[in-house]
Amino acid sequence: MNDITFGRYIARETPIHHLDARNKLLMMILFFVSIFLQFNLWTTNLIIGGIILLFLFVFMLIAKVSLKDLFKSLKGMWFLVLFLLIIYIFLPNSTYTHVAFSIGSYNIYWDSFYQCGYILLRLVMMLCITMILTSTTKPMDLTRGLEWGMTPLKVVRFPAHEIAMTISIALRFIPTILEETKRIMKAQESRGVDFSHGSLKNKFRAIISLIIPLFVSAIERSEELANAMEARGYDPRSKRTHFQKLQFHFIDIIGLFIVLVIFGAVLTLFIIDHNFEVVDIINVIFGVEVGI
Amino acid sequence: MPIKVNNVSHSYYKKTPNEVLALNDVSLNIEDGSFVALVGETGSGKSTLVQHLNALLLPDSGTVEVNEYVVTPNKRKNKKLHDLRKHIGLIFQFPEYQLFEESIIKDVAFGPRNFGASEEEARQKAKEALSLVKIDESYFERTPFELSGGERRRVAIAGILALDPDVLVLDEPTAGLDYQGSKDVMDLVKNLNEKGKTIILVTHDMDIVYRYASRVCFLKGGKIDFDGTPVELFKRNEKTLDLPYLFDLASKLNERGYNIPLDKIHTISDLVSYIRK
Repeated sequence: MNDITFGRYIARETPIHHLDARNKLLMMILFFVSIFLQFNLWTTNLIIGGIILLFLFVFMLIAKVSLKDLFKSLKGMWFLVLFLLIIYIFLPNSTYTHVAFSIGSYNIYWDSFYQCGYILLRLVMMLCITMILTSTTKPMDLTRGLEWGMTPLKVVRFPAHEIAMTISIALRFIPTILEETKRIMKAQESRGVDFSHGSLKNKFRAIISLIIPLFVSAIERSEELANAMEARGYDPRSKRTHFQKLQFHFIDIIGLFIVLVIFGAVLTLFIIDHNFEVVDIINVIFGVEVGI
Repeated sequence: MPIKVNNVSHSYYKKTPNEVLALNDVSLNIEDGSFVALVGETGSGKSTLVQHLNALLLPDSGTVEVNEYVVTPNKRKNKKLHDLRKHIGLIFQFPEYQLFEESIIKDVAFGPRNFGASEEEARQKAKEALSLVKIDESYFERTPFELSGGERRRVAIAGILALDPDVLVLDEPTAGLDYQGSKDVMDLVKNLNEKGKTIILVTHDMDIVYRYASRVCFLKGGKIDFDGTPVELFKRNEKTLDLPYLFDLASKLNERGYNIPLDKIHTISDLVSYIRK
């Protein structure tokens, strides 16, 4: 319970912290698109994925996001990986061609391992991206950025401001509720509840003794918050000014340029890859044979 | 159950830029049947210290000894800690948030049930605890959520009293209560102390310290800055503390030639009887 540090905003003075939130959101989208471009050959997929991951690691180093936290959160994913592997091994499809070994008449394909590995690679990349984003951007700036992005939708009566406000309130209360959870857990532990040991029935009771007070206090808190907002004359429809303006700086242009270059490169390779039948583009570009 | 705190240190947010040393090499002995007040500013480590007493927090270094129980920094060596919590009842700040059962009696019986009491035993203990905090029998089957703030607090306190702990640790039990509510709670605490229970009370209220405590520890920046009787503390920190009204009055009377023993007056009537002499 004490280790929920993943992706929490940490105030530091790095170039990535100084980037505009809107810019960072745009970069995130660009990275996500590059991750999801799929190439024809599996070697190409892995190599390009690996290169993007390397770039992400460099960004993480610049942003002083700890790699340790990333690996910590990966530890929790082994179950998912195992599950995926089982599914891929037992549900081969007709495109699988590379037999790793056979058990009786049942073939186990290398392709299963590759598919699983590729999903894991993509997951790690997505984790890196979100981690960089959330640990270098204040939640308030992030929602402001989102609100800005959703502004054009206001034409079709999309409640951009209301959604941004809801998100920022939700983000604001995550640490508070974690704090509350810890407090209630301790209070119940003082009454002899054991959250980590005991039979299933006892554990169920333990969880109930945590969840009910948590809900009660969360609902009470939201009522208080709503009253406080109303008392200060909050009206979602009225025009608002902001204390801090989001501003594009020179560094944003540099950052965006770098990300655009990476994105452009991946996109170009993708177009080439899909226009020329099945070509080993790594071979074409670098002149090395890494194929099957 | 004498408590021995030996050189305990504890810090929060370890290995991050926000690391705070909440307790710095604190040692403290508490004898049976004493009434100890822990005072200090917000963030001085009072709550951290009391959470060590029933092993909700483990020390980073040092040990806490309670009878045969020894709490050490090493998680694996700490066996039987679950039982320790039966002997040391910790009542948190705003304990009414821990209520969750559908009826008051069930909620109070929850503690004893967790320590292996049968349904019947637990109910009996709950009834006793509820009568201690003066909750009427007609309330027993009601849900705790329809009670008033003061009543909820008393039910929550009963939830710990039902465990019949030897040591009762209270973290600001009077915070947010009206005059009558806080007086009820403090009278209950005093009553329990007179029955032989050790009381450890975290508070900001110097009037309460003066009136009830026989010993006071003043925490400052994670260290024990002062350990002694309330009168000694008030004399030492005359300028910085918010002195209790009664103490202030009595010492001003002494300046004008009265001879009132400051350590013997706890209530207005005590003061009046000494003035009459």
